This record gives sequence, C-alpha cells and structure tokens, in this order.
Amino acid sequence: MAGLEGDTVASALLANGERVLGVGPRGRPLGILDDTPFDPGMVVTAEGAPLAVGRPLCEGVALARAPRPRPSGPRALGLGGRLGTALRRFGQRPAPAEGVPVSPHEHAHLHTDVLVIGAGPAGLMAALEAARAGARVVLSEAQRDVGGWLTAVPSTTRLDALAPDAFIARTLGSLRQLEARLLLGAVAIEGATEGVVTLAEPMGAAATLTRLWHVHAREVILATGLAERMLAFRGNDRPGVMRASAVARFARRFGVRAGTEAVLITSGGPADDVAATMAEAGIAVVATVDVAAPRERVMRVVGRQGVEGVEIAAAGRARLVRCDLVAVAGGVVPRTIPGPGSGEERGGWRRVGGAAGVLDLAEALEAGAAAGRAAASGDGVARRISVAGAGRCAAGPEPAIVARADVFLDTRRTLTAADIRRARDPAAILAAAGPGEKGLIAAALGGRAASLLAEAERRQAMPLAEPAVAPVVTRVRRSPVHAAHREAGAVFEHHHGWARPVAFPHAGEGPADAACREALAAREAAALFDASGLGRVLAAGPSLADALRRLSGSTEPVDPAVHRLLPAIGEDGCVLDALQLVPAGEGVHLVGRGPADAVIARLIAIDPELLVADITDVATPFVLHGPQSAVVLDAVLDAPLVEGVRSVGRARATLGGVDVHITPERELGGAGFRIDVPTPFAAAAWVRLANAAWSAGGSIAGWGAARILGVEAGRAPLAAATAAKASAAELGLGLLSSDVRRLLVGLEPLGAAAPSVGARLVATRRRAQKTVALGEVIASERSLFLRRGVALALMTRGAARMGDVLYAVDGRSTTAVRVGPPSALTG
Amino acid sequence: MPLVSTSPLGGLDLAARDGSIALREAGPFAYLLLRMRQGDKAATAQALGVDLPDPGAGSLARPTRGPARGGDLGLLRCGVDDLLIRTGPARASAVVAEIASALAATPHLLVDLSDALVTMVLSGAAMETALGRVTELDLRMLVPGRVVEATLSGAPARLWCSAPARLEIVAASSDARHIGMALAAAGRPLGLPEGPSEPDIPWHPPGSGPR
Repeated sequence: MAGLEGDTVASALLANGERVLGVGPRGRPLGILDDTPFDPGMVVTAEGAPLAVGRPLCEGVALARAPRPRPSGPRALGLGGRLGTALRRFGQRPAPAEGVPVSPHEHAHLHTDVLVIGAGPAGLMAALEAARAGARVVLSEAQRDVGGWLTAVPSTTRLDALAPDAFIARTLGSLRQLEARLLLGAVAIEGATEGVVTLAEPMGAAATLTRLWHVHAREVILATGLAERMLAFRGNDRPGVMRASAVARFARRFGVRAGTEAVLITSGGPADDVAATMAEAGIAVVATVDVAAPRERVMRVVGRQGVEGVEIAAAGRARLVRCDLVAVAGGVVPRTIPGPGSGEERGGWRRVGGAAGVLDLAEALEAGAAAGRAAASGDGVARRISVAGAGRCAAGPEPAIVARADVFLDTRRTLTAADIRRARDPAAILAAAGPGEKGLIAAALGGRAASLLAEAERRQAMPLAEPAVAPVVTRVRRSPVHAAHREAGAVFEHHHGWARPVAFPHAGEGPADAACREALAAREAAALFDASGLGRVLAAGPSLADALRRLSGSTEPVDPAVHRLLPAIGEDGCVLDALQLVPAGEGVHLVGRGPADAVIARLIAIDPELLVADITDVATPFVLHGPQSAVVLDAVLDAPLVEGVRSVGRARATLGGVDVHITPERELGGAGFRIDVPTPFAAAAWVRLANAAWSAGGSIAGWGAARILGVEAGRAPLAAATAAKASAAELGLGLLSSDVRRLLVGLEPLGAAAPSVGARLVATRRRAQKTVALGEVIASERSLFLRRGVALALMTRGAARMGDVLYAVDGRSTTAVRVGPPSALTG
Repeated sequence: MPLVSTSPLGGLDLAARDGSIALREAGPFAYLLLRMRQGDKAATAQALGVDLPDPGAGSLARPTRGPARGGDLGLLRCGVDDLLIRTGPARASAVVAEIASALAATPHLLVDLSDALVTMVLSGAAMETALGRVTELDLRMLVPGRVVEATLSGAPARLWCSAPARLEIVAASSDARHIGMALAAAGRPLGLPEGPSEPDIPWHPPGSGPR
C-alpha cells in the first residue's frame, strides 16, 4: 500500500481500500464521511494522539485506528488493529526530547487591510479584486487547497473558457504576484472583536501544536461557502456512506475513487455536478433516490463493516440495490464561523457566495469580486466571469426523522433522535452542531426547535472558551534574585504578575510548615524577605498634596514631607492598595503592596497634571525582620548605621560600595528594615544579607511567613480589601479617624483548630447556621511563635466585644474564638 | 568586597547562521525619564544640545555641545510629555544636572531609570516574523525612526526601530528575561540558536497558601 505526496490521510486510506477508521462511541465501525481537515468525528491515532483524516499525510508518523472514545469492555468490536502496515513505510518520527515544554498553541499576529475567510470561488475573486485595488490581502482557507466548490465541479465546467483547475491556478498566480498572503489549512474559529479573527492552523505531522493566527483586519469578507446537509436514514454511519461533494473532491483532487458503484441520495433537487464528476472518475451511479419526493425513501443501508447495498422504497415497492458507496447530496446550507455577531447582524462583515446563500457559480464569482473591490475602497463593480456547466442544489425540506439506534443526525455519528429528545441541554447540542447538522437536530426536537435554535445562536455568539485562545505564556516578572530563590528550593506564587517565593521548604517539609518555621525565625532572630513585587511610584507636581489627599479619600491635608501609611482608594470607594509614603526630594515615593499601574492610573485620573513614574524596578526592596535585624544589617553594611538613623525616616548607606537606602519597617510587628538595593546589584546583595541572617540564627523567608507575621501583628491582608471590597476604614488602613480600628479585630481560637477564612462570626453555637452574622474571618494562620492559631475578622461593634467568646461558622465546622485586639503581639 | 552587578539577560547574544535574525543584549546604557510639559520642549532641547524628536519618534545623535557632547545620545519620545533619554553611564549625572538646571523654573519629573531598564536588539530580515509571534502590534508601524509602546508576550516594552530591520527593545528589568525567552523561542524556527530558558516554575497552587 502506498500514499502519494499531497495525499491526505483520508485519500491515502481510500486509495488503499481502507474504509474503517476505528470504532465510534456506539461501538460501530466508523468510516470516512467527508474530506474536511478538522472534523473531530473522523480521526485516526497518530503517535498516540487523535489526528483528523483530512490532515496531510506526513512522512514519519505511524498511524493506528482510533480507539473507541468511551470503551465499555465487552461491547468493543476489536477493531483497534494498527493501520501501520499501510503507512509504516513513512518511517518513525523521533520522540520529543524529554524536558522540552510543549505548548498546545503558538500565537502569531497579522495585520492587513482585507481578510477573506474561505478560498472558494467567491473568496478567490474577493481576494483577487481587493489585491488588484491595492489593498493588502490575507486569504485564509480551512483546506490545504484552494478552490472549494470549484474542486468538486466536473472538469468540463468552463470559467472564462478555462477548466476549473486552470482557472484556480491562474487566480492563485495573480494573487501571488500581488503579494496577497495565503493561509492554507487555517480554520477560522472565532470572529472575536472589532476586526480581529482567530484562525487555528494545526502544525506538525501529528498536529499536536496549533498556531493561532490573530488577524487584525480593516475589512473582513466571509466566504466560508456552503456546508452539505446530513440526511437521516438507517445505517447512515456505515463506512462507505459519504457526502457526495467529498466523493467528487476525492476524485478531482486526489484521483481517488471512493467506490465503484454508488447510490446517490438527494433531497429535493438534482445533484448534477457531483454525479457528473463521479462519472468522470469512473464511479457508476447505479441508483438515485430523492428522499424529498413523496414516495421515495431509503429503508436502510446493508452491510456490517461497510456498505454492501441499499434498500430503497419507491412507488410503494422496496428493492435492494447492491453498491459499495452511498453518496449523500443532502442539499447545501450557508456556513459561518462562531463568535460574537456570527448571525446576520455581524457588523461590517461582508458575506459573499455560498456563505450568503448564493447557489449559482457565476453569481458567487461576481459577488465575491464586487465585495473585494468594495472592501478595498474601490467602486464595488467587478468584471463578470462567464461560467458554463455548474450549479448547486439548495437544501430541500427536512425529511421525517426516524428515532432508531442506527439513524444518526450528526457527522460524528453519535447522536440519534432519541438522544436529542432525552438531552438535558439540547440547545448546547444545537450550538455545537455544524450548519449541515442543525436542520436534522432541530427536526428531531419538533415544536421546541425554534426557541432552542435561538438559544443556540446566542451561545454561538459568545466568545470561545478561554483555553482555545489563551496566551501561550503568561507574563511572569522575575526578581533579580529569582535564580537564587530557585536554587534555595523556593515554591512560588503568581502575585500581580510576579513570581514571588511563598516559602523555602527543606527536604521533606511542606510549604506550610516551611512558612511557619520562617515566621518563627523572624520573631526569634531575623528573616530576610525579597519584596520585589511591591509596586513603587514616584510622584511630583505643584498639586501633589491635594492629589494625595484625594487618593487617600481623606478630608484632612496630607503632607508629602511626612513619612506615613496611606490607603489608595479606588474610584468605587474601595481599597486599591495600602501605600507607604516616603518623602523624596520635591516629590514622594509611594510603595504599595500591589503593582504600581493601578495607583498610577488613579493618580492621573485624580490630577492629569501630576507627574508620575513607575520606579518599581529601579531598586529591589528586601525586608529584614526580627530582633537581630540590626545586627544582620550592620554585618553587611560598609559602615554601621548610627543608632538614631534606625528609628527615623530613610537613611542612605553603602553595601559593597553600592548606595542603598534603609527604611525602618514596622508592618510585620517588631523591629525591621527595608533595604532598597539598585536592581543590578540586588542578586549579590541578597547573598550577603542571607549569609549574615543565617549567621545570626535567622533564615531567608517567603511571603507565607510574611502573611503569618502580618496576621500576628494585626495587619489585614490587602486581598481582603481588594477581593472583599472592604473599605479602608474597615481595614484600619486609613488612620483617618481614631475609631476606625474597632472594625478590625483579632481572634484567638479556643481549641486546636483555627477558624477558616470566610467563616461567619455568630454569638451563639445553637442554630449557628441560621443566626445573624456579627462579622467575617478575613485571615487565619498558624503561629509557632504564639503556639496557637491567629485570625483577624471584620466585625460590627468590635471594640465593645473585646474578650467575648464567639463562634466562627463555615459550611463544615464551628470554632470557638475569643475576640481581642487586632495585634496578637500586644497582649 | 564590592558588589558585582548582573543583568537579567546574562549577556544574551543569539544569531542565526544565515544572518536572517539576531537577538542581542545591548548596553549598559543610562536611561533618564523626563516628564515635562509641551512648552518645555525648547528648554530641554537647549539643555541637551540636540533637537527633540516628535512624539512617537526616536533619534540618535552625537551632540557637539551640551553634557552629552562627543557621545551618542538617544532620544525616545513615546508621548508629548514623555521623553526617554539614553546616554553612556558616565555622562548620566552631567545630563541630569544640565536638564535640572534648564527646567528648574518649571514643574518636571526627571528619574534615573538606568537600573530599571534593559535593552535588547532584534535585527535581521526575519525580525518581523519573530516579532509577530509575540505581539499583536501592527508591524507596519515599525518604520525606521518610530518609537512605540507595545506588549511583548504580555509584558510592556518600548520598541524603537533605530534602523531598517533593527529594533531596539527597552523593557523593565523584571520583564526582560520573560521577553528575552519569548523572542528567543519565536526565533528558534527561524534559525536562532537555543536561547535562555528556565524549567517550569514550581508554582504553589492558588488558594492553598500556607495556613
């Protein structure tokens, strides 16, 4: 057995007489229905992964029959044997190297004046005329070849006195001369937003990688053509039952006969084109049945592993017609692509040819050309192509649906009418159905069809699920100490784009235990934190004081020359960030807990005249915390800090000959310093500081430990502000008035278990689930230093409840807690 | 012992054998960000000794007067009030002093971002193909002399087309490695040798933070 260059897997299999691709979900043999490259219902297994048989045949890929999707043991028919003997001559593909990350998507962006989706007759003419009018053109086609409908018409058809293949070749040549870009094998999967269309191009021999083209186009022409409709009859899933257009294309494009004797099944009209093409290929049409005719119908297809004949009823008499191929010409319906506005209202998109319901070839060519010129800002008038000898048949009325186990309504050949009637969410089936399937499925739904079709349209208009179009890589900001953290065995969390170490577990230790150990080191000796994720803003300008007042939501003036804590309040009145204000020359440094972008945007919104800059990366902040932090600091600085400098403002010092800034840090409770090191020297400075911390009995620490220290010290986590939409006053961040802190309280668990975050606080244990909540737990940690759990809560009249015993209730448990001040360290 | 400086790109230097594409770290440079009012353009130009480019444009000059005389002075003007000045590290303090003096009477913000920014140069005929894989920017904008702000693989950067088929990418230090890896990966099929990479980061599952 052999395949030829240019073959698809399907054409090679058919050429070698292989019709059975594997076993369908119903345990029935599955054959080739179509020549589409992206039908998930027609796959084989290539290198362990499913491969659509419309994909090109590639050297080096071993193929096997597709296993049954949902094997159920005894019913498996044992058809999983390898097709390798047929195709093994192509050799073996080397296995991918271990450790090489394989991404399922590669993204590429293209910008163009005109995007034409579909390279059938209308699409080809649209692209050609747009390019001739001077536009930059991208022409995409789902198949590996262009031509669409023209590849199925008889070779005797004449377009401008040229045979179809010659006409296609001439058009392609002109497009190449005009430097139009062709994207072949790229399926339009979504017309997402304002002129951006996403196309998926499977890459690699086994199509394990998909390149997602994001085409940004000023004009989009939809020339996606026509889809052939499914017809429902008994045994319509048998290998050898194929779409008539596919039979014609296999003959024209690949010189492959799908059978020798065919029964042609039509619905409401002639199928002269395909019949003529089949005849050219030497396929004898032994009988034609029009299922839309009053007294004609297909009783059943005969044969187990493939078509052996068809029982036909005509004029009240049944007869068996022997054949090895059933060509189904169910009529054509316009094809479109999913995405917002995929219905008629898709703004600004031009539909042409089959996609606009045009069945006449000459009309399709002319409409395509006119649309191309109009899209390129031309006059929209184009030369008419003379056509002789081609026409298509529209879809006739839907024939009656028989609810039987061997009558399938979808191209995957999984759904029967009974399945659809029983389905919990038939609209979802309709939304996922191809244009050629919708009519049958709707017919099976009877009276419910209209409303369900509307719902399906609505769902289809929604953007694709995130995984299909998600970026290949998420932005990851790295600290200059990132490599050292990795070497020290850190586990990371994604914090506003930063890879931030959570903890540095020892061998056999989990991140939670490591964080507890690191927090204890900070309380007993010293812990060194990399605080790279803290956004920093430099702000200046004549109106700075007023802008800071408005940023903090305060009625009192904010003096930019005084070091203080300041909340940043968003437009909605909720907390954006908790800032440290550090005077710097004529401006201020604002050091936040989150990224700088949000604070900058807010400042500019408050006062567009304000001069602001993101200085996050200028220096890398490290936090040294604990009773030994001054000792550690003095051990690494070129000259020890004067005692007084440790407690006031910001001091400059040198470390290894490099200027660094030292700021007292009190956020975590107890003594501490922030050391800002110029970023290029941060990695070297970290090593010195870490060694000094270890020498003093301390440790390096991650943000898990910082969170524990913060809760011990009564500092509400910023996440509680931004996620729970608490106000600054509620969190005690504002220092705006003396009594705001009464809302934030500390909780001491009275048992071994700590309350869970989100648990409701109630006064009585009885019927706790139904009692009105007094507050909510917003942070909860385990403290080795205090040898108990520590928690924070937001509570009404908190100050009046000091010492009370309350109950923290979540869905599963109730924990007794005693209310105390926010900081557990003050007691 | 003096501290040693390091770059997030570690001296990135990749070039395809056929010369169709190259990705290299450039510098070190001193970068000064000047935020000023439109009316201060003349005073700034006077202080620098060269004309300022229009918004959205960049220029490279060798001024014969002013604090940067005798050396290269790059000016990247991303917006009306946003000028990024690039000069040699040795000349930075003189440039700062001159501008501060020239604009003393008017509100302005002059920040030394030398430690915060990293420069990469992407060059070669296949440059656009690689770039198209990491940005949705309309690459027609990248004509010589143009400066644009864009995101590369999700990270913001200033792009300066300083010459035909030559793009200077100025990115934050914390984003530089991410962008360098993305561009190196995008250039691999075009002939770039293997570039910087990193095994998967051991992420802690969200919501399972230490308790």
